[in-house]
Amino acid sequence: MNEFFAEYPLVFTMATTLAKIVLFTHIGLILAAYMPWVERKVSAWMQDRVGPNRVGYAGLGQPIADALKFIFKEDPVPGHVDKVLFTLAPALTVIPAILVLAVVPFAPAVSLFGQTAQMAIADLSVGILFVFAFSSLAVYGITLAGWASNSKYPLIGGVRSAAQMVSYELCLGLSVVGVFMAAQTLRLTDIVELQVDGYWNMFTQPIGFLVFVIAAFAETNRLPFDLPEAETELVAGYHTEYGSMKFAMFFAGEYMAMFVFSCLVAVLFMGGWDVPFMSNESFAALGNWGAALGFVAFLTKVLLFLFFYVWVRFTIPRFKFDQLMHLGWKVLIPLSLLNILWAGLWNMPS
Amino acid sequence: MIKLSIDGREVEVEPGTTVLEAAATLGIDIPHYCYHPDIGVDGNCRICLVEVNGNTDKLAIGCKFPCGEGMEVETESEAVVKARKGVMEFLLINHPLDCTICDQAGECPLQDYSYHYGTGDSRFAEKKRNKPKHVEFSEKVMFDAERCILCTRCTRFFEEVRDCRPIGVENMGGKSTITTGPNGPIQDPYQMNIIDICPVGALTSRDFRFKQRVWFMDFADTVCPGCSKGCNITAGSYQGKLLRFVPRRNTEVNASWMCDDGRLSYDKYNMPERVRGASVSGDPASFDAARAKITELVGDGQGVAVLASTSQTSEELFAVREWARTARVRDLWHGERTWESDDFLKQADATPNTAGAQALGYASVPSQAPELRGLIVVGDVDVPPALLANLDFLIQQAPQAGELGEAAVVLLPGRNALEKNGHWTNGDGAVQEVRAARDPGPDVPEDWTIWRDLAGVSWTSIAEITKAMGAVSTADAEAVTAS
Amino acid sequence: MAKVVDRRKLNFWEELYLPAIASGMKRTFAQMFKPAITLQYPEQRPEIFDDYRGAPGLVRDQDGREKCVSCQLCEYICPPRAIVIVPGEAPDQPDYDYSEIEKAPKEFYIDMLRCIYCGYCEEICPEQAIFMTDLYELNAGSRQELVHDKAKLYDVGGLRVDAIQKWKDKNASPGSEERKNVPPSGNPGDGAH
Repeated sequence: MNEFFAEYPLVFTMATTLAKIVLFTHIGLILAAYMPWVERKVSAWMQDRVGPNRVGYAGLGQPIADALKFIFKEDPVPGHVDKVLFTLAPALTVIPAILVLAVVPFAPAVSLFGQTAQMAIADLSVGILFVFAFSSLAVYGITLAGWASNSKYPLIGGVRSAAQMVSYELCLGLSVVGVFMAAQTLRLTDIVELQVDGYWNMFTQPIGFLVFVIAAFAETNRLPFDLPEAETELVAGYHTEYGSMKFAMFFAGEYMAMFVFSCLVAVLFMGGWDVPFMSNESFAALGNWGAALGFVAFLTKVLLFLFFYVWVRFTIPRFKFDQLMHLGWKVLIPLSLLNILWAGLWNMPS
Repeated sequence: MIKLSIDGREVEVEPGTTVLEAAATLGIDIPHYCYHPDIGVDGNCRICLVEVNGNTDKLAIGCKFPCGEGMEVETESEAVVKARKGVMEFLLINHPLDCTICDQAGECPLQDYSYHYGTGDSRFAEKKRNKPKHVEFSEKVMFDAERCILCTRCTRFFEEVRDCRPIGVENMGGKSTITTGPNGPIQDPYQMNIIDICPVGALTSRDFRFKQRVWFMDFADTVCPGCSKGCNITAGSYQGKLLRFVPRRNTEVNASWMCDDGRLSYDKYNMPERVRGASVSGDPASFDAARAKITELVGDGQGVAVLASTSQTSEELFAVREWARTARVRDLWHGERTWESDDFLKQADATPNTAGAQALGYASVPSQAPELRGLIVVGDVDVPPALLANLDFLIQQAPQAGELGEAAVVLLPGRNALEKNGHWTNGDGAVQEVRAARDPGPDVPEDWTIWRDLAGVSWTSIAEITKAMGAVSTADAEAVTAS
Repeated sequence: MAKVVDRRKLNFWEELYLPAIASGMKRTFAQMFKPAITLQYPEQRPEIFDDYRGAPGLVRDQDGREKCVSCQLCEYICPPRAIVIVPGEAPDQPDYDYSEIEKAPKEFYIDMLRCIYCGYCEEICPEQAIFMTDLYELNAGSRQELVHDKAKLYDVGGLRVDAIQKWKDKNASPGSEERKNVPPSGNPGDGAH
């Protein structure tokens, strides 16, 4: 085998890439499927309730039951909608979220059959730009859904979403500038490796971390920034007219986005696969076990951040729209500019 | 004339007037059970006590005490209120707690007076007296001896109004009870009037027994359509279904009475099966189509006659006449229907408005009927078979089509006698207002609207016709029939 | 005129909101470890109080007799007009203890879709024949099934033993034997004539 792959490294690359695609997207999808369960359980605990406990052990079958229900439900398409865009919109919210997973490094490199495989599906040198390029596309899904539904609540939801995304995309981008200023690269694997040897960015750039986290909440339309679907004012916002699997795709899209942003927070600010007090050498010394350890560490961070998402949701109430805009433009952008200045001073060649 | 004061208010009355009647002219209601304006005074119930000239030792009974010059009567003084309370308590001592199953509940003077004048409580701790319940006085009247307060209105009704004694009081003291005589059940054809005059639930109608609570029912003050006497009645219905007729007091016509035949005739006016909507040649058609067909059939009016029922109100007959005038139909006839009369209220003419029809120029069907091309039948009327021979067409407007319906080229719906508004003129010439007691439901317009539309007149209400009817003199009516 | 509300000026930390958010997060996190207070409904049942107002039902007395005499007061008082009674005559049974009750409902309907569980029917009933039961689970496949008829209402209400037996006590009175000897009508001893 080793000789075969040494002779045909492309085959190895193709095989491992295929395996990574299958593995990582499924991790994402399964987590996205079980996040509603986590969300319901955690909210129940916070509210002195029990949460789902009927389907399977501790209600673990609930996501499957929900999915089956969504699949078998009638798929209603109201007569007044733009049929093409109406059908396209849910797909446009899921696909960008899944695509962003391509550049996320899940673990240190693994050696197999004498070859080395990076544990990101595509270890692009412009990783962060790729992330921003595709995560920005998600706004199209929501805005198009609002537009195509051709009724008032979805439209308001769509417009709000567009305004919100544009505002927070900006500070999201600016807050990361400090990170690649420190790393002097856009490749996510390199950013992680730098943090493994040095300090996690969340400690060196606390302001940038704070801004990124807040913007991540806004980008994923999570409370306290879920104005596009604010149920008390807009019924269900942009997905008011949706039902069945189309609705489920918006749902899945939101949780996929949560997962992706959790990954990005872990990669950019929390040291990726780093375990405290371990260096790149100590990971390499452990060989593939080191990769496995890194993978577990990475997933732990992601899961903790996902829990944080839920925790915040059931603690902080929704902003008003003027407060949202005020926070985005007048507070977070100056703060992220401050962070760039801070990062510049911190990394000044002495 | 005698002047006296009642509760400090001056009143002037004829000599011989009782205090109760004098108070009634002032609108003061002195409670009474045994007294009834149409069967006279007995004075046994003692609820009508009043204080005369400050004499609190011996209160007088208002129903029998004649008015005197300068008398000062108090109906609400302390002594009177206390005495009434006492009488009320006595009356209620043996009265069972039957209101839950008693048909009188809701229209019961015993309930009302107990509420207004009673103590609301009983000090009577002993067993109440037991007497026979649900005793069948006849196939029409049910008697409950426990509820009876022995006011003897019922026995006096037969003695004074009907001059017979089918029932009377038997036994003495606490065992007194009303009972039928040796001739068995009551036979009198006016016997159900004792149900109305009974102030408690002792005498109840077996026909109306447990049919419906009176407080759920709708009531319409109208006139009995049974005969030309035109007894005033209150028709009671529940959810559009007539359940009973009860006489309404009118001293000019029927006093407080009506015959049992009239009283029990209510059900035939419920008419579950009836003509709804217009039809031409047996097929349902719009009213416009029916009107067009009638105009076409009648043509110049030659050889066409109208035969109207005398159950139609004068307004409806006037509307028909108005149409006949425009259509140049000359012969206006009214139907006839008779039954057996008696010596009291029942008249031989079994329709309520013959006099009204005649006043509007409708004539009896002549014995030698002229050659007819077409006949227009209005309302529930018996058509002499002779008229039906050699007809080209028959138009019928009636609540129920009957046998004629098949022959009718145009069939229009109509309202029956209990669904009409307007006036009837009874056999004695009294014009009395008739009010609809029930709504026939969809597709049965009021009769006058059908003929108004045919005649092309712009009346909008019955009242307008009544007014128009007064303006057109009977001379005009004669001119129409003579021309 | 707009009313100006004086608001307290926030200090720097309060204006940051972060301490307030942190304290809120602490609160919700601590709450996660407290026991649940909810009821696991189909297995665990809520405690039903004596004066609970569930579905109304008709009751029979200790002799299994239907107490309702169809006086229709409940039909009258019912605010949403959920009750419809068709009154009827009870069969005549001369030797029966309750022969004085001449009236009984022929049909008795309560539309549970209309019922607002106010309990007026129970309150007004002069015969103590209708009661608000503790039945709170009402479901059906059609609207018609939720119109409870007489059989269903007696099913819901069940049996009730009363301290006071109005009709029975009355019949057990000393005069009752004498009454039974009186022929129903046409008594020849006609004292009034």
